Amino acid sequence: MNATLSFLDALRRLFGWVVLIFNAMASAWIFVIMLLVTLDITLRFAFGGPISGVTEIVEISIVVVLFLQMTHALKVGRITRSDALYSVILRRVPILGNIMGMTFNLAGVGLMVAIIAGGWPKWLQAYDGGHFVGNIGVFTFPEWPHRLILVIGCATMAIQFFLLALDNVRAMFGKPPLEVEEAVDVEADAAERSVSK
Amino acid sequence: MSGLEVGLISVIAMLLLIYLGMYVPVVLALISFVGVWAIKDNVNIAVNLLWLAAARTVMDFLFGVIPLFVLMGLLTSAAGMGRDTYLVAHFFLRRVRGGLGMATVVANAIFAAITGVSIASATVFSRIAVPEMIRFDYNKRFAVGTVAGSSVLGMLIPPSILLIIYALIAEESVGDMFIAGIGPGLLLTVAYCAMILFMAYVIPSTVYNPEGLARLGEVDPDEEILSVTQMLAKLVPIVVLVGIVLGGIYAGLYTPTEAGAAGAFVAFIFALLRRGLTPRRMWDILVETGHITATLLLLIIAASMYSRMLGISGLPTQLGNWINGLDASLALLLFIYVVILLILGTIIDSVSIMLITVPLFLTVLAPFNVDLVWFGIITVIGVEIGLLTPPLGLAVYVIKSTLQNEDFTLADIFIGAAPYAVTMLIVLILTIVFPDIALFLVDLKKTLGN
Repeated sequence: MNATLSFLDALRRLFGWVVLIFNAMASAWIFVIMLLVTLDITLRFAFGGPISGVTEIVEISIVVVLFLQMTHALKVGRITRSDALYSVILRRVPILGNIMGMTFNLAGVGLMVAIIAGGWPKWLQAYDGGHFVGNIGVFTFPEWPHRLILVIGCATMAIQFFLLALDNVRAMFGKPPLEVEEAVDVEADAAERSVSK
Repeated sequence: MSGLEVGLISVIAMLLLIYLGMYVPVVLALISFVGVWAIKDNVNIAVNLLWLAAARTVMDFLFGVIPLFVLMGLLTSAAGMGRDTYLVAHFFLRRVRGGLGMATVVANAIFAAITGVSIASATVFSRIAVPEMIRFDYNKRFAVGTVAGSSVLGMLIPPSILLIIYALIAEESVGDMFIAGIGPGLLLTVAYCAMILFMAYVIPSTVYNPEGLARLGEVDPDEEILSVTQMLAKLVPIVVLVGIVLGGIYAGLYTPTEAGAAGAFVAFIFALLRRGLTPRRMWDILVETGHITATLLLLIIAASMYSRMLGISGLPTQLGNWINGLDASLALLLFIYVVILLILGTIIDSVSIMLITVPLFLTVLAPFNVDLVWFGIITVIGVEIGLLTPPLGLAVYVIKSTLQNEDFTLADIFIGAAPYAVTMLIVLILTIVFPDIALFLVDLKKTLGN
C-alpha cells in the first residue's frame, strides 16, 4: 500500500516537471516569435525580402503555446472563473464547496477526454497521410506535430484537473492540497520597483 | 428536443454554472458539447465540433496579436513608463485644484496608448498615484476611486486586448476597432477631468480631507521641477512606441500582429536601457504573457464552440425573428443589451461577458444593419463599467490587493469609483446617441484611403 502510494507520488512529481517544462518552452517560444516577426518586418523594409513561412510559423505557434501552457495556467489558478459565490460557499460550508469544486474539476477531465477522443484519430490521419500546412514550393511544415501537441496538452490538462479534484477530496478530510504553486505577480513587481527607484 | 429548447436551456444552465464558480471555458465547451449532442442525437458530431474549434479557431496569424500585445503591455510597465507619464502629468497639473486626480486620469489615458491590459494601469497607478494623493491630503476614497475609474481607459484607448478580442469574434478589422476606440476614450478622459473639477470646486469635501481643504492654494515646498530634458527623456519613449504601433497600423505599413511584435520588441529595448530588466524578471514576464494568452485563447475557443452550438440550435435566428415581430426599436434593444451587460458585469469578467453576449446579439441585431464597429465600442464600454461595480469589480480587487493596506477597504474603493462608473454610463449613452463619437475617425480614415 505504502509502496504504491509513494510510486504514485513520484509520478505526480514527474508530472509537475513535465508541466513546468511545457510552460518554459511555450514562454520562451513567445519571445522567439516576437524576434522572428520583428526581423521579418525589418528585412521587408530594409531589403524588400521578407522571411518565407513566418505567417505559417506564427499560426502553428499560437496553437502550440496555448496547448503547452494551459495546464500550468490551470495549476497556478489563472483559468477564468467567477469565484465570488464559490469562495463564500467554500468558507461557510466547506463540504458543499469541495463537492462543487470536485464536480467542476471532474467536468474539466470529461471535457478534455472528449477533445482527446476527437483529436487522437486526427493526428494519426495527419501523420499517416503526410498532411502539411503552407504552400508547396514556398514553405511547408508537417501537420502532425501540432495535432499531436493538442492531444498531449489536453491530456496534461485532464491530469491536472484530476489532481485538483483530488485536492478537493483531501480537503473534505481536512488534509492540505498536494501541491500549491502561485504565479508571480509581475505587474505588482514592476510597480514596486518603479516606486522605489 | 427541439433546437430552440436546447438553446434556451443551455443559456440558462451556462449562466448558472458560471455564477456557481465553474471554470468559464469549461462551462461554455461542455454546454456546447451536450447541446449539440442533444440536438443532433449523435455524440460523434459533438466530439468533432469540440475538436474542430480547439484545433482551428485560433490557428490564424491574426491571433498572434494577443501574446504580442500582452507582452508589450507588461514590458512597458516593467520599463517604468507608467510612472514616467504620471510624473509629467503631475508636474503640469500640480497647482490645479483636484490636479492630482486629473493627473492620474491624463497619465492613464497616455499610458493606455502603449498598453492594452487594464490591470496593468490599475496596478501601477495604485502604487504611484494613491500615496501621492494621500500625501497632499486628498480624500482617500477619491484617491483609490480615481485610480480604479481611470484604469478602464486602458481598454478603450488603443491598443486594447478587449478591442482585439471583439474584433476577432465579430470578424471586424482590428485596426478599425482601434481607431473607433480613440474618440470615446478621449471623451471619457475629458468627462473624468470635468467631473473632478466639478467635485473639487462645488463639493470639495469629496476630493479633499479637512487638512487638505485648509492647505488649498499652498505651494508644496519640496516640489520637484522637471527640466525640459528630463521631460523629454520621459516622453520620447512613449511617443516612439505610439508611433511604431499605432502609426504603423494606420499608415498601412504592417498588420496588427506585426505591430504587436515591433511594439513588444521596442518596449523590450527600452526596458533593457532602463536597466530594470534582469533575466529573472524577463522570464517572469514571458511566463505571465503565456498564462494570459493561454487563458484568453481558451476562452475564445470555448466561445466559438458555444456560438457554433447556438447556430445549430437556431436560437439567435428565432430570437431575432421574435424580436422583429415585436417591432421593437433599435434603441430599446440596445437598452436591454446594456442592462444585460451591466448585470453580468457585476459578477463575470469582461472577456467572458463579451464572448457570451456578442454572438447572440450579433444575429439579433442583424436586421437593423447596425455598424458592428460601433456596436463593439458600446460593448466594450458597457462591459468595462462592470470592472467598477460591486460585488466583483475586477479593477477594484486589483487595487485592493496591490495596496495591501487595511486603511483602504473594498467599500472605500467601490464608493470612490462610483462617480466614475456613472460618468462612464453617461459617455456610453452619448456614444449610443451619437455614433459619430466612435465612427468619425473610422469614416475619416476610409475617406482618406479612397
